[in-house]
Amino acid sequence: MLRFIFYRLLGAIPVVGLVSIAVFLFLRMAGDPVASLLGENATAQQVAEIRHAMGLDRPVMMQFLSWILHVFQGDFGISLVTHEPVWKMVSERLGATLSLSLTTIVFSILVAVPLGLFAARHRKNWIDRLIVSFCTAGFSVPTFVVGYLLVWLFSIKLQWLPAQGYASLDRGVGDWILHLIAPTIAMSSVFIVLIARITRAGAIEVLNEDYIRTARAIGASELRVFRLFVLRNAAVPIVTIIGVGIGIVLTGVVVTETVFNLPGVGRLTIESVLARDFPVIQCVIMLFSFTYVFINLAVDIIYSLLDPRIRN
Amino acid sequence: MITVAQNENNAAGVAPKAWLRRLRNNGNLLLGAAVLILFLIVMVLAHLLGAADPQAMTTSERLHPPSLQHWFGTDRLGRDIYARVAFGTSASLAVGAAAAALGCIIGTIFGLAAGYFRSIDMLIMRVMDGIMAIPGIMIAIATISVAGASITTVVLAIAVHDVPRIARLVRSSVLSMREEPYVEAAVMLGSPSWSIVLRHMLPGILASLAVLGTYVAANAMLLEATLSFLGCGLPPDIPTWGNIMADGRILFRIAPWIILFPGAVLAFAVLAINLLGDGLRDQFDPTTEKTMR
Repeated sequence: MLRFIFYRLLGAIPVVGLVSIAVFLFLRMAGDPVASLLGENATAQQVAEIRHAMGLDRPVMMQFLSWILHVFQGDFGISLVTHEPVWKMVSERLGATLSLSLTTIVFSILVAVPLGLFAARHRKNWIDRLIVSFCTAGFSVPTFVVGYLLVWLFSIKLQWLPAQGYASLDRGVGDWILHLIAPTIAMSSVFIVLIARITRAGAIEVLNEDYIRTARAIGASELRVFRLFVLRNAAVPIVTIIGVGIGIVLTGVVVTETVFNLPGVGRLTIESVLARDFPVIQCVIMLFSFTYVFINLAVDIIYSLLDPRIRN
Repeated sequence: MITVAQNENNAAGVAPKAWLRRLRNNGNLLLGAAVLILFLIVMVLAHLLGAADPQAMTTSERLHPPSLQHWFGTDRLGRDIYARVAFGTSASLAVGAAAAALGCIIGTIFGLAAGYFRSIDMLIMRVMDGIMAIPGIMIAIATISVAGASITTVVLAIAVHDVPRIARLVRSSVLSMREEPYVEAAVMLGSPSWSIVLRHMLPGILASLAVLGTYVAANAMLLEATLSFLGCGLPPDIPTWGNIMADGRILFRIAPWIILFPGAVLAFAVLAINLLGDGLRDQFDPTTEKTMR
């Protein structure tokens, strides 16, 4: 088991390295940071001094090494717009994004897995067909349209939910949940569809197995069959798709936070793109990509626990 | 995820009648194609008839809700939303199709290379893993923020995100085809590598590529609309569906129709393309159990 984790960690290193190089080069392509820092009126001597101070006169390889060392210490440089440390700006926004992502993942799994199992249970009748059509349709509606539909229905027409904004946890759990309901549903729409499809497909495959027939024949209740045999054996693809789908959640964060005006990392991304604040964009891309890599790493480890055959 | 049998092309050639019969019973394919044709007709009509000018501003009719005169209402400059949506169809469909085509071409080249030339397989696939690790919207936003917003950069930015998925599919097909007798025979006869790859392997991949390419096109349209909606997509003067909706963001409380109607149209178009993809998959490979929907 430890061996498996070790090799899997080793496999993640090139990916992390490649992403870092890409992100470093990205900042390079974005233009000379000195020019954006000093403005147009800087003298040649000033530029040379700053370049030396920032290490820009050293070879690119050395610059990359010193940059990556700083990054691993949490130093992503200074924002070109606010002149604050980038990591401070990003970490201040993490609360809203983490809350939204966690509620989305939990809500999606709670809805999608039973939905998929239910569809598989009623395979080939109208319940299944309804759920499958719902999934095809759900995959086609963009997250922001779902978001605005929810705002229109629950905030404007029915006035049940606050329209926009965020209440941090220290203002009370009730307020926090109330502000997260609509964004969570909007962001979950695609994720639910994804998980439900895989759950259904996996469950149908398992339901054809002989041991299911045996279990039913010896009189195991339907609930027991599903809990003990179907869900357990369909778990690997479900866990995998949750890992792959994290990319969808990260994309959803950017869109949903904009629609619902949540002060999170996603909105920060859009703000910095519009202001061309490259160090911040760089930090956010690194953060999102590493999150994706490490969640998928965790997923691999989890399913090697679920299914010992994969370890070899 | 998408498993289309390698030899289906030949099967289609052998039994055109059965193939046609399957086509007639293929509800997804027919429905998807019908809706898409409808969109194309609307697009052509919008340009030909020019019933309402999408740029015409009528100050007396600002922010009118949907009515018989303005089906989808009007925006803050009094422009007719329906006319704008109809005219925007071409840009939205074109960006989706172009991004998918570009992604398929680049992805196929990488996939063929990685699958056939084993020495560069490791390198190519690690790069693909790297691209996959960055969420598509981030790649697109970063590219556009560096290179500026134009149709070319937007198409390129969206295509980059799709390359790894296509490369993976093509690579795995090539790997399984390497063992096929017809490929081994070609190798024995001393055919050059390019001929083996292009003449013996590529045709076997086309069916699965068409299916994945359709899904990729649907996804590209969603991504384009999302980018434009966020203000990081095509320049705002091009009336794509995303740009029309971006206009409605600050006015949503008083004029929700600016977002909801184009959003519904976008969802229908993407749904039609997804159905087309499902239909193509069933058409090419009737043996796939319909479990992977």
